[in-house]
Amino acid sequence: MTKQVMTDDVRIGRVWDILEIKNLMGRHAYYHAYDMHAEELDELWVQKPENQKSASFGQNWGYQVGMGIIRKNYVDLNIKWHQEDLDKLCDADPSLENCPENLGIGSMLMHILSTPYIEIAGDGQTAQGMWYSPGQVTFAYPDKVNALWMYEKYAVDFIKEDGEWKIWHLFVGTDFILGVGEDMTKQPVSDTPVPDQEPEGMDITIPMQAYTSRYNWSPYPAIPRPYETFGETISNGPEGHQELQKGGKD
Amino acid sequence: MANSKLTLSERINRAVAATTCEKIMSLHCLYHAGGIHREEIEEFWTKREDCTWSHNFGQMDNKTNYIECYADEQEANAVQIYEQVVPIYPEVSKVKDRRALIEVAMHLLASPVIEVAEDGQSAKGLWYTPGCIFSTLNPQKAKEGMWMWERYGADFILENNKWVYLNLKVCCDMAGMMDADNWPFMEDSGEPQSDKEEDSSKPDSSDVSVGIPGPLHYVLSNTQVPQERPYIPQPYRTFKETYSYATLTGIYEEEGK
Repeated sequence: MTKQVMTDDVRIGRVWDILEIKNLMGRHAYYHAYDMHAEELDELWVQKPENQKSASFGQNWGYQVGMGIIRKNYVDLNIKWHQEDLDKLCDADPSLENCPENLGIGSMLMHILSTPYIEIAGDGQTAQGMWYSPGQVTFAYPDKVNALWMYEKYAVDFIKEDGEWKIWHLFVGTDFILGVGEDMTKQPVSDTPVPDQEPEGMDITIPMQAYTSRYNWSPYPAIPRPYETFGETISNGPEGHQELQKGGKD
Repeated sequence: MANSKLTLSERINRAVAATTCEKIMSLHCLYHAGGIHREEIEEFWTKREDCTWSHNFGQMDNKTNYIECYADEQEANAVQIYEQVVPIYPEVSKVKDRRALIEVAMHLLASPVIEVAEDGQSAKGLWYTPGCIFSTLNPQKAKEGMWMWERYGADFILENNKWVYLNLKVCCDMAGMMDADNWPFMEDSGEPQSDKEEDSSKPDSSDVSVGIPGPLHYVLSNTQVPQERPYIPQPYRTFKETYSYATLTGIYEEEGK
């Protein structure tokens, strides 16, 4: 960002922007844990058509681009998975009622946000943030409960719409998944933290190995740097991935 | 900060300072995870010689010693690791920055306490860091993972209108293999101490050539009460009136040095 003398209003405005972005991402974490995915997309993500078109959700296996496909996976597919799990639980335990209120029963997802690093663009219209996320996910099955540590890096682009910060590009890179009580040294080296391919049923706009911890630290996504306008920084959407910038992919 | 006599503009100054110091601390964690140590020292550490970096195992007690331990030795370790790994996994030759081939030290930040001095020229921060260290491709040919819970105490100063580190003190309380029962009480929970059996294939943090040897802090023990280190920041007026995270603790307190 260019060095300039800022007024108190501008300076406190930028501090306030950082606080609002922290709250926005905090809400994302809780909405996700509470299965409020539809509400999250309606309230926390971009709403303007031009931004919805370029919105993206990236993970190790590639990118979903556009709010339509993001909603299809994040809302509809999530409900389908929960229903399949509930069907199995109800088959094993007839006393359990198979109803929408019981979707997600026995599961608990906590993707905690830590180590916040947020850069507000010089023009104040966009921002980039990075977080480490030490998390756990727990799922119930008819014969067991599966609890996993899940450590990830979040890289997010935000854009201001009518004065409110919204999630525009969300990238979640999983570094490792480890069963609670599992000895990491027993995991085969060849195992990637998550499957190289997207989960069954998930539509992906750009399938690729976008993130891996095979070489330990991943230089992608880039650590945010001070910037003036979004055009001069590296996007956390697919257009910012070095493999796609080269015109190819893994 | 508790001083209610500050003007609105002075409060804004401190809010900006606290936010900036938090960013520096996060940036440190991200750089450290990637082994990007030399750039860290150049970009957001003081230009002064009298800066310090401390851990249980001792203190790098000036800039020269800090660069030697945190950048030079770490980069030499990376070369050593690379030469051991590349015959096993030739694909690592395509990794552009080989410093992270040692491991990923993922030190997370939580529970911040940040105090900005009344004169606005310095700040102090304290964090818990419930972290972990992992690696995938390594000379051991097996994934490695270790929990590492520590506390960070940082002194920041305003230097040429830019906030930078002056001192960073790391107190490691617990470390143990991922993921084992009762890991804080495993025999190797004192990973940073130097008296355990060494894995000759991996650089040991206790081998770094610190100017002042430790221990400056002790890992969890069933014969020890919790230690108040790094000290909890309190409101203060000027850096000269408060304690510094360069202050030697541990064995030096006990010996009255």
